[in-house]
Amino acid sequence: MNKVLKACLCFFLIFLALIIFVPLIWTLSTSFKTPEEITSLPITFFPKNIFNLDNYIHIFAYSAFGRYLLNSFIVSGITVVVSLIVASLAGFGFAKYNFPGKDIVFFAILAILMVPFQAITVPLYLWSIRFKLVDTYQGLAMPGLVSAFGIFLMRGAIESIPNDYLDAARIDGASELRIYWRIILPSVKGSLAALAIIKFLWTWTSFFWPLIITSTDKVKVVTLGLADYTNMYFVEYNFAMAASIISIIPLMVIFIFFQKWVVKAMVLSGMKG
Amino acid sequence: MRRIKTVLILGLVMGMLFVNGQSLFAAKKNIELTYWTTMGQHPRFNEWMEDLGKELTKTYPYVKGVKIIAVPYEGYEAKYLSAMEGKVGAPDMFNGMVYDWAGAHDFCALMPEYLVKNIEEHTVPAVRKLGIWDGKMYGVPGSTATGSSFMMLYINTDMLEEAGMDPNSYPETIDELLDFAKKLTKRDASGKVVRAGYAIRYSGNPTGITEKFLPFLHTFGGRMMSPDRKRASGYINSSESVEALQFFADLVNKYRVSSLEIGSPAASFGHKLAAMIFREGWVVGWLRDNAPNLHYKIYPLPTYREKVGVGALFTWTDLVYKYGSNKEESWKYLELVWKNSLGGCIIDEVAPPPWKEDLNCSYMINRPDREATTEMMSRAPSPNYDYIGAHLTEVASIMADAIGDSLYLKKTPKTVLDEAAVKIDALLME
Amino acid sequence: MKIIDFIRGRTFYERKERSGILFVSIAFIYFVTIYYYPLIQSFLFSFFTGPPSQNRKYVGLATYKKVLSDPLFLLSVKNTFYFVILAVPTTIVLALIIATFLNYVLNKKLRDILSFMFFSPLMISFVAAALIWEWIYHPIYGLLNNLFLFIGLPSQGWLSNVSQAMPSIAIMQIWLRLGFDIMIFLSALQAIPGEYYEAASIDGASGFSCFKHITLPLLNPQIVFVSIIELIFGFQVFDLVYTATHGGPTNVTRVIILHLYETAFKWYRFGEASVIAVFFFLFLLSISILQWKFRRTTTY
Repeated sequence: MNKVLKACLCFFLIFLALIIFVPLIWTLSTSFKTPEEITSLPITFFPKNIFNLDNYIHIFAYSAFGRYLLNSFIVSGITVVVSLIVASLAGFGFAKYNFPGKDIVFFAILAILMVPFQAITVPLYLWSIRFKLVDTYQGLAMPGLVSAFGIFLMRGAIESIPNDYLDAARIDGASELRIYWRIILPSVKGSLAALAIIKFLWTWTSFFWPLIITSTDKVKVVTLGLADYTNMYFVEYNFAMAASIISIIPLMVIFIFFQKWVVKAMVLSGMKG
Repeated sequence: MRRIKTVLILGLVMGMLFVNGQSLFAAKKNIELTYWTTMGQHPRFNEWMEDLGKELTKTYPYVKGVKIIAVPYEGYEAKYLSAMEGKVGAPDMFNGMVYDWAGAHDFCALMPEYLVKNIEEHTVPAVRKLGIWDGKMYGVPGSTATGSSFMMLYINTDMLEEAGMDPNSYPETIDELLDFAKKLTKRDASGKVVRAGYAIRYSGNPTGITEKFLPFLHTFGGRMMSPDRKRASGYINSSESVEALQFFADLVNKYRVSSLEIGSPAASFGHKLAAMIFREGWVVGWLRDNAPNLHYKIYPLPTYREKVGVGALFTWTDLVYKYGSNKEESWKYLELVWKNSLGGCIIDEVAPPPWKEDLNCSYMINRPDREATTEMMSRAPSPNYDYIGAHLTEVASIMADAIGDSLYLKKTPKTVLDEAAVKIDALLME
Repeated sequence: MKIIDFIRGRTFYERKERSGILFVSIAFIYFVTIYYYPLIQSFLFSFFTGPPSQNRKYVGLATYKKVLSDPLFLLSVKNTFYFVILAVPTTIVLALIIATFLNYVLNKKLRDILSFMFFSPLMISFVAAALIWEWIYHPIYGLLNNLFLFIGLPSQGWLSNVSQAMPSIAIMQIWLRLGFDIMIFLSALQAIPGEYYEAASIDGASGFSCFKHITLPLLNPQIVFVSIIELIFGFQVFDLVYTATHGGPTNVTRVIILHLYETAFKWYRFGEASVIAVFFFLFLLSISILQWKFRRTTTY
């Protein structure tokens, strides 16, 4: 690969990346503008006052956005922890065991991804009532606790662990659970990290279920907080953009922090289908 | 010994699980009523309502107050339905449309006599229909942010001056509306409308699209359906209705005083992209916050063959949940809100409620829509109230599709209205 | 051997496998109660006019006939297909190209920064994304139209334009999903040993031929995986459309799930909504089965 071609590639990539990233910069810029700035022509890309925090102050003053951020964290955290455990267990079961009906069950679990959520909303809500999960963290986390995608991922990752390790451990008298804890989990750290990030993202950005299951600020999450700035008449873009930025920032921080892990993780896991 | 310990611990855990929540025989104490609304964009009105809630403690000492919870408009139907089907987590009161929650479902409590009398005293019969289903009253009309508010004409006086017209003039008839619109429209070099003389509602919620067309339909002499709600054929596709839809579409395509690419009317008006719109009274408050330098005036709707009066299609009213445990207190609270809005709600981000009181009272005197409101309320109410009934949302959707097809020149008004008539007839017969 | 033998667990093998069943059953029971039970309920509802709480009557397959001949439903199916055809292949191909190029970038810092930028849209909820793009697409104040005017092109209607509305939404979807696919392809690419390419270049193979004969086949499992996921997400599109265009203008962006939502929650026709849900589920299932079978026959 000669240098000129490489340089071209680089520029092309940077150009594309910027195009993808520009909407977010535009959102950031809009969040620093006043409603009048937003609707003046010709439009300006950058706000007059780069650190005009009025919109942000308004959001935190009129709604408990800090609380929403905390709630999103808690719910996403619970979901991640539980789904890591359950998905890796189930993935282990599918990868290293052989029992009748295994393939059918596996496919049945994958089929879950095809169920449109709107179709099961009301019955799901009725379940939540029965278990007193309405307006609670547990209720929020419930549909996402086990991830069909996660099981798929884990199965692929665990399949590549050589069976000899497991058999050796069994000969030494280890119980299956011990094998899980001592051998399987450490070997798929990478995939676990990848799943954790993806699950965290999905839970953080989910809207429909939190809408149905929460009624008070107690457990309200950021996506609902953002929706408050849209309504049936008009969208207050300055607030909506600011709220969007507030909801993204924690994710960006986490991602930057874990980015090394994720990429390494995905490489190590091989992501075999 | 270990056995007994396990049993005790198990028993304790079970006990905690079941004793969670209110005990059946405890007296009511320290409760907070909940009120759900989709009107999150009126925070000061919601604060006013919460303050009123604190006054409820005088009548019911164990009531701490009322919590106003704003539900996002997108998806609110699913949320309301789930909560009310499940009974747990349902609000004590909520803001909704009576044909949904009392009509299609059975979630509304009947209004107690004392409140019915109060409302009858202060409203014209047509307006009461908003809260009535099947002859019984369930909802309090007009005490909410947009309640029964009706549309009026908003006109940007700065633009009038700029066009060399008298800033105090306004179109009284549809022909004059067209005339004004032609003079106030601005187009760019390629002929595209960059400032609409009259801004049309062409997108968003289908019920909204239909609602904004109805003033035209009615003033041309058309109707969506028969007064007894049994038939749409002969009404929605009458020659007057077709004429109205043709005129509406012509605004965009023939006279080019409107644009389908300019955003929603209220927003365009605030952003100075439209000279005239039809909108309700609450826009006053929004404009004050978001477009303080906009100079405008409000007038009654222009007329043609018939004078269109008060009427709305979104029949938001305050309803009480049928299976709640605090119904008595909830009705008292709604009575409180109603009484206080009669005196004139001090928050101008909402429209004045449709009461019969003197429109020269202190609250109304300073509102820019005072004269227009007076005139509109003196006219016969619009046929909107007759449309309230089963399947209204779906009827409005069918109508909105017809309007859209005409505006975008996919089909002629006659064709779409004939098709709509067939569909709506089938619906009304169910 | 039957399940019952495993549960009794007389042999070591059976006891071992029993643990496997246990590990899997946690997830399985969860799914059955949370997802399958409501789905089956939905399936049953589709033969009635609604759920048991309302007065309902048995109508058999009448609702199926009604829904499958409803022009609005058929329109929503057509629109959804149009959307998927626009968005899914574009996303996959673009992701593949970008990932391949990214793989050549040796500077790790630069690669990380670029990856971050490509991945960033994933951190946005669909509602936020719809709002952000609505604003970008705004006919008068939007970034795109002003950019167009700046370089001399006429301003467009985007979401208000009947023929541009669906492509505009497809662009949103591509923007949102690109990062995920890039990550998957990139990590797979980085796992390919460099020796393959060295051997090929010694034999005189060109860059493009390397790609075609080494990279693509090795990436096959990921391509199939990504295709299935993107198809599933694509067909299930809802929040984007509902917030941005509400199905308009004139129903050109009316997608299946939007139709399902309106039928169930705005028009209260639960029997019909159940039919749509069942039909949708079976459709997606068959597509996935087809894709899965296709994969089985082409791995090396």
